[in-house]
Amino acid sequence: MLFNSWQYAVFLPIVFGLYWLLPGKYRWMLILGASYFFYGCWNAKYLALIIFITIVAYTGGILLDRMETDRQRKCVVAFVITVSLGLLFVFKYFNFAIDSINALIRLMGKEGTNIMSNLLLPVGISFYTFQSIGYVIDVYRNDIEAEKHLGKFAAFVAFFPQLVAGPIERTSNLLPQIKGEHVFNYDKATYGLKLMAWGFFKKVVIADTLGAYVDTTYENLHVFAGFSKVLAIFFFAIQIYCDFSGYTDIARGTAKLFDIDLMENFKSPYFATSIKDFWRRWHISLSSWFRDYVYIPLGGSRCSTVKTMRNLMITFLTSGLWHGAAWTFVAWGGGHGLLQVAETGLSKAPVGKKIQISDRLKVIFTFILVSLLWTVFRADSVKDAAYICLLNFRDFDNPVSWVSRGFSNLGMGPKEILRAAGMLTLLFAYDYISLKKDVIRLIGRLKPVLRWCIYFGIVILIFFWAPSDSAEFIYFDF
Amino acid sequence: MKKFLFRTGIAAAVLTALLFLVNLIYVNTEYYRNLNGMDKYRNVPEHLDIVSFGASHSQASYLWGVLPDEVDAFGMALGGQSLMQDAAWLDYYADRIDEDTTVIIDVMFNSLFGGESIDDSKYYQVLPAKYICGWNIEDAVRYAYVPILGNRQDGIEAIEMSLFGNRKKEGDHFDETIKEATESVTSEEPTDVIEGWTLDEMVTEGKRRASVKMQESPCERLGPQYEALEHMLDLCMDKKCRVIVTTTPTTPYFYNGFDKEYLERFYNDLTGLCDKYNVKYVDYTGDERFTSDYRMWLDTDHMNGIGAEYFTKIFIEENHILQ
Repeated sequence: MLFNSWQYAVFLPIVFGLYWLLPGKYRWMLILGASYFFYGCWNAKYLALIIFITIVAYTGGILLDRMETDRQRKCVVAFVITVSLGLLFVFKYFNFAIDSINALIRLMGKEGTNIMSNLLLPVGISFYTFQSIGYVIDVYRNDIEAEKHLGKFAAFVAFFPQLVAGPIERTSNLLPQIKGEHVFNYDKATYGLKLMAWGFFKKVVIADTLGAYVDTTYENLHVFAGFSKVLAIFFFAIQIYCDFSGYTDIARGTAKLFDIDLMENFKSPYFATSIKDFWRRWHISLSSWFRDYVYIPLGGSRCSTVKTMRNLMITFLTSGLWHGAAWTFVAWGGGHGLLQVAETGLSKAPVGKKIQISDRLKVIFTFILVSLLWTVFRADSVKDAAYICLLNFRDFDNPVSWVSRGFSNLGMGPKEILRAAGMLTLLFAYDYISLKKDVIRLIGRLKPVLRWCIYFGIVILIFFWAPSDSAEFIYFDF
Repeated sequence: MKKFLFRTGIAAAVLTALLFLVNLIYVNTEYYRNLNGMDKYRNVPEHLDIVSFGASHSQASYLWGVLPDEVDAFGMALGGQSLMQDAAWLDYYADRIDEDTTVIIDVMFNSLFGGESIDDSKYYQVLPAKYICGWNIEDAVRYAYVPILGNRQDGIEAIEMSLFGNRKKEGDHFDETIKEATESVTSEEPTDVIEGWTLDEMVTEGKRRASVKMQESPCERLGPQYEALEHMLDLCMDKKCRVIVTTTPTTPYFYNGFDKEYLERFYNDLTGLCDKYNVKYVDYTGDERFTSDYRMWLDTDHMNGIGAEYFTKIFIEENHILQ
């Protein structure tokens, strides 16, 4: 079930109504049932997978509580991680591994194998697997106590707003809220609705509109040249941000309707002043997961510069692979790793040799670098990404014609350009203000007429600016 | 909670009212009435002397305007229309055909194979639910009950133009494309290539189109489309009307793009069925009367208005349609 579907528009009010009608002690049951129904709408058979991962992590937690020696505890945690990652490998990486091995064998002049898996990639598998692994590691580290109640733990793993594309929640944040008592909070619920509206605007208006131009370019790569490619590069950067952060806003907004706070996943990432800063603002739940469970255990930055750089590379290559079973994702992660290594190197340079650059320039420079790396993420191969990044400056002696040809090749007339400019201005303004203030609360303090005009305006724009056929969320594929 | 429900209820009611108001304006625009070329179905004659079915090839080939006014002929064909949907149209208008009617069913190489049509959304504009293949509630809301939801951006543009502009939004459907292509023909002598095309483009495009059709409708799948044609023939037999099954002209650049086995399978299955029902099958594939002059073509497999007029006249004469 997609957030941007009529099924969800029916499902959510029903679950919301039942949740607040039920006595508090039964609410976890409703959350669990609704979450399994939500997931089952996509593929009921794969519910078995999420139930299995839940049982493995739950049992692992209980065993960790009972084991006394560190050796036994290590064995348990290793077993849970192996089983969880093993399943992830089978469903997500098996064909990729076989393809890669075949390519290697063919390089040596031999025949590859024909074994291929026909298994569908279960939606959200990377998210709930990582959430479960995080839980077991936290119990192992004695950061939290093992959950004794299987049903409540299952509701934590499967909580439907964040089940298929995060945020990857920490047990210490979400589980106590699932178990806790809740009283309906008007301010929180209305805040949730407003957050959802903004999320829908980002997804169905901005991401889906720009996505159509991006798809046209990437599907007919060699037809496009010049400024069309520049547009495709930056449009994809905006598309993926609005798609994913839109999902997160809808997820967080939905959770607030149930008096549950999910963690923030984005903090105006395109206002980052460096790649490191970007990762503090982009997909925070994943980057902090990798920081806590991969980077720091490897030694983090509390070691020699070379080892820090190695740790960064390992973390980002793994993070790239987490996103998808293809070398393009590994290359994308590697690119981010390399840039961070370079930043680490530059930060160690003597102060006198550093060039002072204004924050605005840093923001622009970071945005360009991140956008260029997104091409590797979006393209079918690194070669295609390189093609799109290599600009064609034919007719550049007349920049106005170069630019206008770029727009018209993508099918963008003055009206489409104005519409895109309008959307991007709204996005820019929201994110810029968000750097210092909470925009939703700020609007809430305006005079009622103006406030309601803004709310209605956003909903009307969602209805009438959105393409008729909304696309799936990009991160559902991960 | 009461305050929350009251306020969200009011907001939802206001937005719903606004949506229905915009929808009401939209369905009354000329643009909506003729969206996808559906306006013609509002003028189907009470009795059909001639009725042709099929997809875009039939739509582009039969020009019933060449007939005298007293003959009530109607083209039910639409771009991408499946035989299943043809059968649904025939069922819907069954009371308008009888033993005086000539029913022409155009079957292209890929029509017998595959499942449902790719896009059924346009039928929601004019047909009741039971006559739409693959009807579902979600599409019914988007295309039948609140059609502005299924065509939001163009719909708003159409409303803007009809309310505030001095021109109406142009429709974007196949009949318009055919009309434009016909008007753009400038050569006074027969040509070897379609106006504005090169020979290479014709070869490549013909192959591409054939390949897409074979991919979309693999010939190993003989099922619902074939059964729909059987159903149409059964109904025509019941009504005792005259039936002609045709394959309208296409250029060699298109039909040579199909695999030999694919075409063989098509001809075997179709002629077998026509023999079973004792129905005439006329195949214009590769007919040089139409492929010797490319001024008659819109692209590699569709005729333009000039070609349609020429073909229709020949078809009427050769098959003694008016006798």
